[in-house]
Amino acid sequence: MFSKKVRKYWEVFWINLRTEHVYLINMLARVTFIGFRIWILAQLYEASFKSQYLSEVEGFTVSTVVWMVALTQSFGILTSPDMAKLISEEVKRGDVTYSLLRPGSYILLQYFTFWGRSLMPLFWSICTGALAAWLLVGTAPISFESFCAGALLLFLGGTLHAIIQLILGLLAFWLEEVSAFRWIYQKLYIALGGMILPPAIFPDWMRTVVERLPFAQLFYSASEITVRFSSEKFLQFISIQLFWLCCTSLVLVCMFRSSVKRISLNGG
Amino acid sequence: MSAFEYRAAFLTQAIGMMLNDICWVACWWIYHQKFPVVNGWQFEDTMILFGLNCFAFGLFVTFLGGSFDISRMIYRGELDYYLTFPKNVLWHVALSNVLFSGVGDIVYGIGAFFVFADPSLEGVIIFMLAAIFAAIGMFSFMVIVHSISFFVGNFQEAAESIFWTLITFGIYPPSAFKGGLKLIICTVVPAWFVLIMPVELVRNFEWQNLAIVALFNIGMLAFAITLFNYGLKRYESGNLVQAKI
Repeated sequence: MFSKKVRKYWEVFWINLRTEHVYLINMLARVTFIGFRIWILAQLYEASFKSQYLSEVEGFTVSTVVWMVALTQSFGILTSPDMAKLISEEVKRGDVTYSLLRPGSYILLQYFTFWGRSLMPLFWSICTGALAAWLLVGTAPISFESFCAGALLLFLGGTLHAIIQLILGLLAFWLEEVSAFRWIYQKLYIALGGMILPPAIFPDWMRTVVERLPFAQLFYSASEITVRFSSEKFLQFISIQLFWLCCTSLVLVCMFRSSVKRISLNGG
Repeated sequence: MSAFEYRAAFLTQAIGMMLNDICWVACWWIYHQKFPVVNGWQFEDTMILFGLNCFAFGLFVTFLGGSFDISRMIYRGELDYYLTFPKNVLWHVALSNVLFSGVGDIVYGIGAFFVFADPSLEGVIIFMLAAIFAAIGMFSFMVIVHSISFFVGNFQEAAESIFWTLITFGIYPPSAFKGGLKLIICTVVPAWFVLIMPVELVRNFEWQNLAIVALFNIGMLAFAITLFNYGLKRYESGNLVQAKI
C-alpha cells in the first residue's frame, strides 16, 4: 500500500525528468548562460580585489569567492521555472481543480514535479559552473567529504525553496496578484543568498544575521561547505535549514488546508 | 484600464517592484562598503547605472510587456488568435500585456536620477533619450531571443535566461569587464550598446556616442522585426482552443 502511494509520486518525478530531455536546446542554452554570469562575476571580483590591493577578504581569496559564487549561481537554476508563478496562474485560471482532483497530495505532486523538472538542468548547470570556475580561477579544495555535505545541504535547500514557492503560489487564493511577493523573495535570495555577494565577506554582524535567515540556506550554504568544508559550519547550516524547513512546512500545510476551502467554481 | 480596476494588484506590483529595486541598492551598498572604488567606479556610478536601466526596463515592460510571452505563444500555438486580426502580429502581441511592475521601476529610476545624476533640464533630456534607446534595445533583444522558438520549438526558459543575462551586464560596474567578455557584450549579448553606453551618455554626454547608441538600437529593432516576420512564416498552428475575453 505504501509502495503504491510512493510509486505515483515517483512516476510524476520520472515523467517530468524525461520531459526536460525533449527540449534539449532549451535546457542547454539555459545552462550555457550561467557560464556567462559566472564569467562576469569572476572578472568583477578579480577587479574588486585588485582595486583594493587585497589578496584576501575575511579569509577568502578571489579563487574561493569565485568558486562559491559560481556554485551558488549553478544551484540557482532550481529557481527556474518559477514554481510560484505557475501555481498562482493555475489558481487564477482555475486549473488548480484538475490538480486537486488527482489521487494524491497536491503538495507532494508539486514537490516531485519540482525535482523532476529541475534535476537534469541542475546536473548540467553544476558541470557548467564548475568548468567555468576552473577555467577562470583554477581548482578549488573540494573533497569527497565536502561534496557529500554540500549535496545534502543542496537537497535540503532545494526542498526549502520548493516549500517557499508553494507558499507564495498559494497566496493567490487570497490575493489577486502575488508577483510582488515573488519578486521580493527573488531579490532577497539574490542579495542575501550569495548569488552575487557571498555572505562570507559581509561585515561580521551582518553575516551572523544573514546566515540564520532562510535565503542563505537555499543555495549558498551548500556552495560554502562544498568549497570550504568545516564540520562545525556544516552542523550549523544543517540545524538552521531543518529549523526553517519545519517552520515553512507548518505554514504550508495550514495555508493549503485553508486554501482549498476558498475554492469557488464558476460555470462555463 | 484594467490596472485601475484591480487597484490592489496594481499597487502591490508597483510597490513590490520598488522594494525589489531597493534590495538591489542594499546589495550594492554592501558591496561598495568592501570595495569602495573598482577601476574608478564608485557607489554613485553604480546607482546611476542601475537607475537608468531600471527606468528603461520599466518603460519596456509597462508598454511592451507582452513580449515576455512570445516563446510560449509560439510553441503552444497561441499566436493563432493574433493572426486573425488585421494588425501587425508582433506589435499586437507586445502590446497585449501591461506589466504594472514597470511603474515601480520607472518611479525608482526617476528617484535614482534625481539623487545621483545631474537633475538639470539638459540632464533630464539626456536621461530620457538614453532610457528610450535602452528600452528599444531591450525590446529588440527580447524579440530576437524569443523568435528562436520559431526554429527550435520550446525555447521559453532559455530565452528568459539569455535576456536576463543581457540585463545582468547592466547592473554590474562595467569597468570590471575586459578581454573576451568585453567582446561578447559588444556582439552576442550587446549589453555595451543597449545598457552601458546609454549610462555613459548620462555620466559624460558626447554627440558621437548618442549617434552610436541610436543607430545600434534602431538597427537591432529592424533586425528583430525582420527575424520575427521570417519566423512567422514557419509558424505552425496547434489545436489549442483559447478564449480571449
